[in-house]
Amino acid sequence: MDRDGQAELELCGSLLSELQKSWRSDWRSATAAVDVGSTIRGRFVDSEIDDLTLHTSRHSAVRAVTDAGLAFSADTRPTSDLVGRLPGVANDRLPPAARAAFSAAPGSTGFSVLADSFPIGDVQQWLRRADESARSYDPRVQQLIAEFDVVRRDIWIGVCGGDVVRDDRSLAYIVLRVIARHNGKVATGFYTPGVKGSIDNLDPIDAGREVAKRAVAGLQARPAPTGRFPVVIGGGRGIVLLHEACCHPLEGDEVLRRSVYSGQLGRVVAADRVTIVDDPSIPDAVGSYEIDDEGVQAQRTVLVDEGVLAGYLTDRETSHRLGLVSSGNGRCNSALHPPLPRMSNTCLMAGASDPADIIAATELGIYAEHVGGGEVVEVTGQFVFRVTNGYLIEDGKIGDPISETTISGTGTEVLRGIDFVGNDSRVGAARCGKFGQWVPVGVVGPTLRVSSLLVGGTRS
Amino acid sequence: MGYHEDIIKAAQARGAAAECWMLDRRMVEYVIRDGEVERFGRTGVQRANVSARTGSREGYVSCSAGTDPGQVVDAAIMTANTLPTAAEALTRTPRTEDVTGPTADGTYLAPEGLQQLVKTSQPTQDGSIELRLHGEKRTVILADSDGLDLTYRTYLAMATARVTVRGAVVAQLTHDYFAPSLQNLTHLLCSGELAAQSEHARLLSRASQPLAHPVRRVLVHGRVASRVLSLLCPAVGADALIQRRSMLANPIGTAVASPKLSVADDMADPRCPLRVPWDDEGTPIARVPLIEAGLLKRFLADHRYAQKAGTGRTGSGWRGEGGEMPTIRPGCLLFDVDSPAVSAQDALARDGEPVLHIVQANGMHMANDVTGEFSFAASGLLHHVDGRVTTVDGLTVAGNVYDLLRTVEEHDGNEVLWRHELSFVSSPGIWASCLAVGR
Repeated sequence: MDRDGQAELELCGSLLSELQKSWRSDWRSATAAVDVGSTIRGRFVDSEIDDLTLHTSRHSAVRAVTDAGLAFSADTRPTSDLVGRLPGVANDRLPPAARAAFSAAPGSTGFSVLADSFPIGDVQQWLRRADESARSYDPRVQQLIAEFDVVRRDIWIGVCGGDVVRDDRSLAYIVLRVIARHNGKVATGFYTPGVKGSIDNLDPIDAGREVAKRAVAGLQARPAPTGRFPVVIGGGRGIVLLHEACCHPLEGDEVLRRSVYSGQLGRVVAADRVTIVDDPSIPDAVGSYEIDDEGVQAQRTVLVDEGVLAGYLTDRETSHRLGLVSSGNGRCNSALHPPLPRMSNTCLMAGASDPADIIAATELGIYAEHVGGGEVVEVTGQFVFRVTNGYLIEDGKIGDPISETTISGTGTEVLRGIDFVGNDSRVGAARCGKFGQWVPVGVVGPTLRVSSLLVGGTRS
Repeated sequence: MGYHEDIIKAAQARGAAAECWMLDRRMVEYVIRDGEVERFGRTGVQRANVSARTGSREGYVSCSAGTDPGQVVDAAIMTANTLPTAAEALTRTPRTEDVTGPTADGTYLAPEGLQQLVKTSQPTQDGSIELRLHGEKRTVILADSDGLDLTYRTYLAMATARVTVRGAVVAQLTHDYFAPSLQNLTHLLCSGELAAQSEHARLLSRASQPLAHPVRRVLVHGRVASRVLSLLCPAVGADALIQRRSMLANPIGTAVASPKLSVADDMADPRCPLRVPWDDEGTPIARVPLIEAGLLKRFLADHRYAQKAGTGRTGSGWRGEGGEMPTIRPGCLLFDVDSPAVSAQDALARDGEPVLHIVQANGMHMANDVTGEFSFAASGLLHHVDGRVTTVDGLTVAGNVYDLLRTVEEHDGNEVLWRHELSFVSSPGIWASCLAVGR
């Protein structure tokens, strides 16, 4: 990438111009995209970087929305054949010489690597400080493993009939795991600090201490119970519960597939204390962006408004097929992949309850302080998510830690069963996978309680 | 001159040795639903993954092929200077191999094949099938400054089939299928596999009956077992052993599993749909027994960790999806239980006890791959002694994969392939006695 991105702007403009020249009557919209990224990716273990790869890439893509769906074509090379590979275009338009050129060995892309765009020293320093912090927290901490992605990425998107726009997608996302051992027992801590922008915006000391604390707590864990209990879920990353249980079925492609919330707009789906918003403008959150991957201006979308289903998350294809305006949620892992309707930052609006009062109001239950990931079956709303650090609540007090376990239920029972919403909103980071594409997502919100969920226990 | 030769030349000009692993990947994707092709796309990826070595240091860069070779090598050298001392240079006999793969285009889906799949996905009165097909052709070149120049070509086709049936309840069953080509995959899907998956979904769509009493006989379908057993993928490498994150860390020869269980990594086995002659470091592929009759035999090793552990390479150095520097992972992990196959019906007749057949799991990907602890949400079929089969939904199943290894005695003979990240895992359905089933 050159410093001002002029080459990418021109490439995107020329793809757009090709699309315009090739316009077909069955196309409803067409976009061109170019993304350029440099990523430091690797693993840190035994107090040093174990593997590290610098990635540099430039991808380009064209996509056309039709009444039936989406056609796309993408490549790592700036080839004029890109538009020609869309169905119904190639054989009609491209001269044989151009098709032959496509199968030839690659020549220079004219793309250059800017070595100083890789802040390796900063990343190394961050990891060492997190490692020192974790190890000094407790002598039972044996190992810190960090998988890191430090990304500088810009995208250029052009829409037929419009201009080319640019968006910055730089972020840092670290998966930290600590292994603690004591008297033959092994426990792990898990934490995923992430931030939009530079890794300098993450505190390594806090991160190291936090993940170590989680692992050490696991050493005292007793088996998790099995059965239905009230579950209090910590804010921030805990909002993964709503991301999985409630919001995946609100994505346009799932609505088209008759998800559990299909045809429910305007109906009461949740307790009236529940307002959920998809907001790509949260400062520092990893799911934030200004323009989605199809050139639609990012916007705040109210999904559930005081218990009433108020909106769906759509991209260009699904908004067209649902007869809606795109909500600006067309996202992809890179321009090599087709956009899908995806969440940005899932936010539960804060309520009035003090978190301590929520615990005190729970006679017997589970406190899910930290959670891992989750999964949902969109058509039924059945979900499952992993509690990586949990505690028993007995007589309104937080008691013994419990082993990692799974909590499951349906999205509708979660939304209707939320009986407390805290006033302590926090921002968490996660990665969401869908059809093989991973994108960073924010999870934002306070402590909450669901009156009854199925806790999966621990091995017998 | 190929791009890899440009890279090697640029490294030479800077007094460095280089290795270039180039990947040319052509992909097609179809999404077929309700009798329509909903999405179609073509993607081309040409990446060069370069390591440059100066003295005892080595750095890695993955870039789009065609990027300025001098700048790529400079960036790799810059990385090398920030990393700890590298493993000793990999010494390989200079050789040139062109292992040409299949000549038929495995990414080509003939119009009649497409029509067959479109027909299969036609909605029925109570159900629908969605197919996500992905076909890819990969050409790999591995070359280095010492004259190594290897090439192979391979194909892989994958389908995610999501079957939804709306009966008394809505049931959805999703499974991934793999084959060496889209034509093979079409044949696989249309020759009974999709019908069997649809039948399970149909059974799950009946009204669920409560699981009134604990059930001692639990059969875990291969679809679920292969996912549970994939928790072992990160634990069977020498890196996990050295980094103290493998619960299999024991002296070789220690009993770590049931005497009936054997585990091997073998990409040449007919169960593996992806055929490659060597790993991403150029080490030839061979069968690696990991556990034989319950006894620990060895760990997988790439070049770096073979040196650290003082063992030989096992052909297990693989790059990540983005061409990251090679790390250890299995190519195709195979679980074999040495006993006659016992189906749910066989066990029912033999033992006179009800059998819970767990056919669907959600949330397995969140299990703990260090401790081996897992718990997932599940649906199953309860085979009663009077011959009835009822549906049980909303189960939670918890356990530990290392306990499972130690207690597996029987299987159902129904092998299922699963892909965990970039590794394949094949397992039959297994009879498990160490699971906590909650409802």
